[in-house]
Order: sequence, then structure tokens, then C-alpha cells
Amino acid sequence: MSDIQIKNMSFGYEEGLVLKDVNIDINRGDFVGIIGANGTGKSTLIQLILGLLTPKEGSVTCNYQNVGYVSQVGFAVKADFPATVKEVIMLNLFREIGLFKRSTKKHEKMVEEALATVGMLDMANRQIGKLSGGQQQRVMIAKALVSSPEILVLDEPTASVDAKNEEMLYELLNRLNQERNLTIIMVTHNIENIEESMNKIYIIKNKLVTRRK
Amino acid sequence: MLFQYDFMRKAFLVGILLAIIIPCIGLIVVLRRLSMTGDALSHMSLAGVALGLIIGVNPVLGATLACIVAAFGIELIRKKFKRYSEMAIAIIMSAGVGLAGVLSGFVSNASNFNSFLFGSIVAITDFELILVIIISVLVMITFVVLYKELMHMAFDEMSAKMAGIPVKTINIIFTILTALTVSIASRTVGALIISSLMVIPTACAMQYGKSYRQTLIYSILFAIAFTVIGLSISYYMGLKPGGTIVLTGVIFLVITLSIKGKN
Repeated sequence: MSDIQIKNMSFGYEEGLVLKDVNIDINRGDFVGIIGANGTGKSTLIQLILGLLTPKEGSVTCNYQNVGYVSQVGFAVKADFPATVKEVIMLNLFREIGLFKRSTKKHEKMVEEALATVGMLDMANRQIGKLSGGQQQRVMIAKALVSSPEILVLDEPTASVDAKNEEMLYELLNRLNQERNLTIIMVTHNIENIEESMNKIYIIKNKLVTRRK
Repeated sequence: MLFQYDFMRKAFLVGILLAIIIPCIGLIVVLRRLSMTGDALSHMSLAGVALGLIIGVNPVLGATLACIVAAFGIELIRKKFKRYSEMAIAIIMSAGVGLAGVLSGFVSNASNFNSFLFGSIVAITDFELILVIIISVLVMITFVVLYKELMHMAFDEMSAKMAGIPVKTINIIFTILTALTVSIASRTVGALIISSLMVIPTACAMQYGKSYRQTLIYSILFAIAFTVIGLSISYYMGLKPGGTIVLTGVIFLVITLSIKGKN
């Protein structure tokens, strides 16, 4: 059985169906692209995979316990949020630190390792809101990576960055996918520069999800 | 001298306790883009005060209950209208003003009701002092214990949920804490100005804080400074304490913004 299996799944809100009869299989090491225009249900599909929404019909099975997820809100960092890069990344160590507990040196080291992976170690004490869009994007990837997830799920990571930063992000994702065999799901509306790296591409149009690759 | 009177000593104690807990709530409320929450709750607290005075229950308890109901009302409406969540605050605020307006007509002691509008920090009873101490300790402990969880939820609620934080439960706890804080603060600094005390120290701290921790500490220090300065000015110049505390904060914020703007 696949690590993520969606079988004959349909989902809708009160206004009507958003996704109809979806079938998707994702395995360890897959680099998956989910593509579609705005409002087609890309983020909804991600939320269904992550178990944040329940399907109306069919089933969604996800065998990953530790998911690194960056939402659209996460990528669009609130410019004036008063926190350092280190503080923001530490947020994702909740499971390791535990409820009601404080972080230790071990957790600080994990944060440093995650920052080193995305090439941002020297920015640890900078205020997140003062970084450029591309730098903020890499910090958010480090935040998702800090707890050593089995899968990385990114919702529109290139929405607010320039072409140079987009290219740097794709290089990073490729490296993570190949060196760590990390499963990656990326929601986007433009895959021009990363299509080659993806081994599965799903397109959402008119409530239907079709596999292109 | 300022501290020769028992009521002034009490006022300073209550003022400083509130200056510690209000920014704790205020920082989260501001970062979640819900700055007007305090306003909505405090207006509803007035309805609770009026109801308490009518049925002979301590008005602060009436305000506390009304605030808790209103805070859950806001959360409920926010969930119903996800894309227009700020509408929840307007709805609850209007309901609070309407209810308070109607119920105040049945209150026999109008001056007692009016004291909740602008607060009466120098006239609080021993029962109210104990209530402020208990709620302040409760808020402080909860805030320290849930420090990283509340910060994550203020940053990105969905990501907090994915990181394993029991977002729903912590939202309920935070809602109750906000309601408790607003209800005791409405008695002391006044229902009409509580929300400014939530937002102004945070706004000042955000101009200087370089990290979340620093911003929180600065907002508490600013709130304490505004309270001490405001209470002292009000004592020597015979002004209303609640309004003077808030105006001290506003003046400081304007000066800070002008200096920062020039730089």
C-alpha cells in the first residue's frame, strides 16, 4: 500500500463539491506537484491529505506521522511579527519539547542544523519580518525541516518571491529529495522550472484531478 | 504623599498587576489581528454589570460571566464567517452596547453603573482586590506555561495544529483568560478604555522589541510605566485615573512614532 492513498474521494463545502472522485498514490521519495488555477481546490486537497478536513465520500490514508508543512499563511510571513528567525523555527519543535516545557540546548542545536541546511545560519538572531521574501521562504522551509519530517508539504512556496529565489528554492528541494529521500508535495500554479524534478504531477481542473506524469 | 492613603496603595497594586497581565493578552490579540476584541468584550461586560446590579449580584461577577459568554460568541461567529472573522467583533460589540443600553435603564444606582464606564481604580473593594490578585496570578501562570503554544498560534494557527498543539483547547483557555482579564480591568480602568490598554503598550513595544520575548517584556514594562505615571498624575492633578493612564500611553506612542518616523 502507498504511504499516501486517496481512493474515490470527494469533498465539498455547503456551496457544493470542490473535488470529485479523486485517486492519488504517493510513496516515499516521491516529488509530487499539485497544479491548478486559483480557487480550484489545491489547498483543500492538501488539507484533506493532512487530515485537517474529512472527505465526504471515499477515503484518504496517510501513513506519515511526522509532517513538515508550510501553509500559504506561513509563507506570507506577517511583516511586522516581532520574532527572531530562531524563535520562529523553534516553534516547530513542539512535539520534541512537549506541552508546558521549555526548550534546551539540544533543541537550539536542532534549530541551527535546520538553518544550516537552508544556508541561513548567520541569520538566526535577525527579526523575521526584516528579511527579504526569499530569505523568509527559506526560514519557513527550515521551520518545516527542524523536526526531521518524513514528508515536506509546501502550499504555494513561490507566490511572493522573485525568479532567482524561486530557482534557489528548487535547488534546495531537489537536494532534500535526492539526498534524504524526502517525500515532497508542492502545491503551485507554475511548474515550468521544476517539472523535470517531479516524478508525479497532478492537475486539478473542474473538480477533477488528473495525473499528467 | 502618594502612598499615605490606603486607597492609593491598593490602586497602585491593582494597576501594576493589571499592567502585567493585560499586555500578555494584548500581545496575542494584536498579533492575531483581533485588536478590537477587548472593545467588544468590555462593552459586553457593561451589560453584565447592569444585569448584576439589577438582580443584586456583584457587578464584577456579572461582567465576568458576560465576558466569557461574549468571548465564546466571538469564537463561534469567527468560525462561521472564516473570511470575514472581524465581523464577529462588530456583532458582539453591537449586542453588548444594545444590551447595556437597555439594561442600564433598569439600574437604580446610576452612579455605580457609570463607574464602570471609565473605571474607579481608587475605589475598589477588598473583594475586588482579591479577585484581581487571583485572576492576575492565574493569567500569569497560564501565560508562562503556554508561552510557546500561544506564540505559535499567533504566528500561524494551521501550522500550530500541524505541529501537534491542541489548538482548540488552548483557544478555549485563552478565550476564558481574555474574558476574565477584561472583566476585572473594566472595573478598575474602565470598560471604555480597556482595549487601548491592551493595544498601546504592545504597539510601543513593537517599535523597540527585536524578538518575541523582548516585545512581551517591553510591553509589560511600558504598561507598568504608563500605569504608575498615569496614577501619579491623576492623584496630583485630580484627574480620572483610567483616562490618565491611557492618555499617558497614547502620548508616549505618538512621540515614539514621530521619532521613529524621522529616523
